[in-house]
Amino acid sequence: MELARTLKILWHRRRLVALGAFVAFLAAILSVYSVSLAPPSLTSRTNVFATASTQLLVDAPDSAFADLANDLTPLETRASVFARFLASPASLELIAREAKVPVESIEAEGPYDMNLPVIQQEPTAGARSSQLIGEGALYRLRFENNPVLPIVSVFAQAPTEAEAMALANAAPKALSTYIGSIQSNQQTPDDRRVVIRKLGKATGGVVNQGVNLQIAMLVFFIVFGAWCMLLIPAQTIARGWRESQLYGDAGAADARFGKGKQGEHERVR
Amino acid sequence: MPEAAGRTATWDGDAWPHTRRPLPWMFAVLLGMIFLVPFDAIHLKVALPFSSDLDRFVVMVLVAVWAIGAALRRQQTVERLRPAGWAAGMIAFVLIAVASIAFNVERITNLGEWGDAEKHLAVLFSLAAVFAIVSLNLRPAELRPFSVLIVCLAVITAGGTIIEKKTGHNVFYETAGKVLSPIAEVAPPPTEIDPNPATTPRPTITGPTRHALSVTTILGMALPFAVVLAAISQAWRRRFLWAIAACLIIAGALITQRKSGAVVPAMALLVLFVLRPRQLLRLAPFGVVALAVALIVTPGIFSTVRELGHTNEQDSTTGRTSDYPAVVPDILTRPALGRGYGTLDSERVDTYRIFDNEYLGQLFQVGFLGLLAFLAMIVTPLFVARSVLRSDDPVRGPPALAAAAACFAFGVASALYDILTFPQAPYLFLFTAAMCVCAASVEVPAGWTARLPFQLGRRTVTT
Repeated sequence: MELARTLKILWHRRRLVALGAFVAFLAAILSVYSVSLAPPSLTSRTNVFATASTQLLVDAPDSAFADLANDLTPLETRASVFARFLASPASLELIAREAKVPVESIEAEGPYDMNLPVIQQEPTAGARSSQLIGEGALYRLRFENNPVLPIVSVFAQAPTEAEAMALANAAPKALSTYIGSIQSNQQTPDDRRVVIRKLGKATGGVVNQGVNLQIAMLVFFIVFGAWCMLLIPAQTIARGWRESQLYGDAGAADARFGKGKQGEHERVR
Repeated sequence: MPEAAGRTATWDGDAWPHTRRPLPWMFAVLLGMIFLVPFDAIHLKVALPFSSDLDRFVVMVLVAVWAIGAALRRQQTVERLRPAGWAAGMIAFVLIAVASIAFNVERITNLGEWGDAEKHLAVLFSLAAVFAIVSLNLRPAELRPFSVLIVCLAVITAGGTIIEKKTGHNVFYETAGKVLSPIAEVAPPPTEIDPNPATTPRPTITGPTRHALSVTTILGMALPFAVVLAAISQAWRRRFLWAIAACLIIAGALITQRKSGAVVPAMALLVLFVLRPRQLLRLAPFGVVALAVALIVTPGIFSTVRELGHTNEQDSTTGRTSDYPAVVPDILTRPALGRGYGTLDSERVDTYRIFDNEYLGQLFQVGFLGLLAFLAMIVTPLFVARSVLRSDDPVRGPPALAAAAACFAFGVASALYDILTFPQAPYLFLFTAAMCVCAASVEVPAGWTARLPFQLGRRTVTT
């Protein structure tokens, strides 16, 4: 009954409903595009992005994993150090050079110690401030390391699939280059050199395709729904306004006791 | 005048449970689900483009039943007028939630948080749908039967929670697992009776929910209904039984060994005493006797209360207080609309904090405007029901009083944990908010609104 009455009111106000649909359409467009008038253009506000991931193994020249006599602990310790180094500015410069992206557009995070209690893992105000500054970066890297494995996981995010793969592949290469230069400078014997092995090529793809349409539809339906809902009380207010004009105070009192002009009220409705 | 109209035009003959209307029965199913089924741990075995949580299906069925009923309904003889602004808080909150996403769309998509926001929005729309449909369709004559149902279900929940504490068996999860195994996957219960004190200082007793605080909240919200039913009962035997039910509900809340288990019911009772002191004081002797009976039924309840003070609360308190400085950078960066509704993924502990305070969480996600709307959503039912809270009308007054106290209890619980993360309490809150709206509504003969002036004395009504 109420649904039918609501639809009836909306049908009576169909021009306003159509105007609401137009306003909702505009709001939907503005929610996902930046509009420029000179020159006329629409620029997407949402960032469709791709992700890619790879892993790197910290190993010995003659692979430590093939020989049961080898102790992996020194490699695990180094993997933990390398994971932290990878998120440093020095490493990011090397990665940016390898991946051919501007270094100031890269934001790196991790590794995080998952074995700590939650309260100690949660970011403090200082940590959050740093995170907030990097939120706008288009190229993002995240490094993860399990302290009992000599492996570092690399997760990359970039605007395109090719760039994400390039970014992910650049991390092991940059680390290899950096460690190689240290080893050369220190003239480390070949049999004592740490070796960085990439465990396969990076894999990835676009992850949030279609997000523009979803957000635009959400905004359209919410704005249109709110507009239609506002039309109902607006109609009540308009009715009250007209009644007060029609009857004045005395007339309104009559109307309160059912003596108003029935036809007039129905017409207003 | 509206009261007079309400007396002449009622639906008393067709009120739940003596009705064939499917919607009130759906409301009963919804309440049953809230109190007895661990629905957020149940995922139906169907591949869908959206979450296959059980509550989404129940809400979808509810919406479908309402839509079909609305389409097929004939002209009715009675019409209901709801108080002006009855849905203002809910509408404002939904609008600001969506606006917060629209204004943060660049950051949200760049950080890959749209998926989380989408899921939380789906839950919010489900909650809004429940509130709207219950508000539009619940009849004043059904308020008391539903109050009784809430108490009965809460007593079962409390009983199951007590059994869980004593035996380590979560009857809600185990029953759901057995009954629903052909069509759904039920997650294992989070129950932990004897945890390692080094990692988990308190036992985990959750009843039909995923968190102890969630079960204490729904029990705390149900408590005012039991107390009010006891207060209005004429026969002493019946009054005693309702008082026993109230004690069982309190016992169920306390047995979880959470401070909130004491705070939420206490605040709900406080509201009742503030609003109807004389009526409630008459219950004192029954309360003493019922407490004695409850102690016999649940021996060891005092040790549970004592354990509240003994358990390692230091970490919990430190965690809560450290949230305040940590949230400042985000609030200063986006003060008006926050970071976007539903983007706080508490599983990413390296990025986001678990706020033990929903108000703080809303400030973080939807800014000051969203926080105000969230507060408005909690306060609106109390505001719309204010005219009937002290009413002697047995149909409207007592249920409105209990429902308002339940809404207040929800408001208190919101300051104690991230209440919207666990859906049971929000669903129950919106049901009780709808009860407030229903109690404050006026029934008039159909067509009467055509002659209705814009303003009815001091009460403005919307049709």
